[in-house]
Amino acid sequence: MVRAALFRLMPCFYFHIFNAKGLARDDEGRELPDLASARDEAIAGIRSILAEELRYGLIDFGGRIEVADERDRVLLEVSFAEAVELRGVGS
Amino acid sequence: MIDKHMLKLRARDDISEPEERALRAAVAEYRDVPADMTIVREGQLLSVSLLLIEGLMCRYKDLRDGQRQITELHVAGDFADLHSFTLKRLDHNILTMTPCRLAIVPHAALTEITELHPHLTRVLWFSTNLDAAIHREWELSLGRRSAAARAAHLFCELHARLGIVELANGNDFELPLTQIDLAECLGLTPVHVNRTLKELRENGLVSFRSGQVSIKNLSGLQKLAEFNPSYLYLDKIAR
Repeated sequence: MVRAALFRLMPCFYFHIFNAKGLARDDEGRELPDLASARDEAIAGIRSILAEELRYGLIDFGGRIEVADERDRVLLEVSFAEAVELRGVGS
Repeated sequence: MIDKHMLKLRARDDISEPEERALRAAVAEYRDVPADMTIVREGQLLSVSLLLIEGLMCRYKDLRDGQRQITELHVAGDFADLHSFTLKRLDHNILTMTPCRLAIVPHAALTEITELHPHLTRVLWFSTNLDAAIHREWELSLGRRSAAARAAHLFCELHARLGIVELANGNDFELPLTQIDLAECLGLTPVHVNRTLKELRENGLVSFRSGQVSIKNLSGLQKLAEFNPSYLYLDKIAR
């Protein structure tokens, strides 16, 4: 929290998660240099969630992350399926 | 000023008045440090140890790409680097996570304690062993616990440790950390931490908001975490 105050030069992005478990709003946000970094952050977050699901044998690709700005405008959507490349599935 | 440290030690053993005086006399100065300062860097030659009076600090290691793993959190009353007394250079960094008040304890003063106060020396030795026990428990979390159990375990541990130094108010305590900080403790990403905190909150176990932890169902949280406080060595016995 103190950290956030030190880097006010960077925009703040909010990562709201939508999946089968419902909506997890991000009330804290994260300061990042630009939208490309925010997309990388969303993808890393999705991979972390999917990795956990994989441990228990069920992966839900139905979710998405909405990246919003400080005024709650959605700047970007990243679907869970976009975050990983699948090979050898269904062929 | 070192009252929290005395609470921590006295939860584990009797500390005599002369021993307490020796500890108080070992403090060369008190220093206020802002948040987010790496106050000890890996490899740096050290001649003092830092006792945390107020605030939160952590030990961390990081990779070249900037990924950071916090390996232990320190609360008021903890020495952040008593082990630097024998190691002289650390294999990790020490960071202030909030504004902190520190007591600076020169290694020369610790040498004097080891020479004049054998029992107090053993108690200080115990506290570095306790740090190692906490590290082992975190290894178990990082290697084997699920994300929810990892987070639950961290809250159970801090509830117990802050309780000892009278910084928990029943099942509530202040934890002025961000989700980024928690992610670095738990080996997760901030997004995943957000998801995990929501799960714990919706299951009626614990809420973490604006730096405040409120445990709603302590036994449920402990069960999910498989939290067994024996690694915190809370029994008071002669050491």
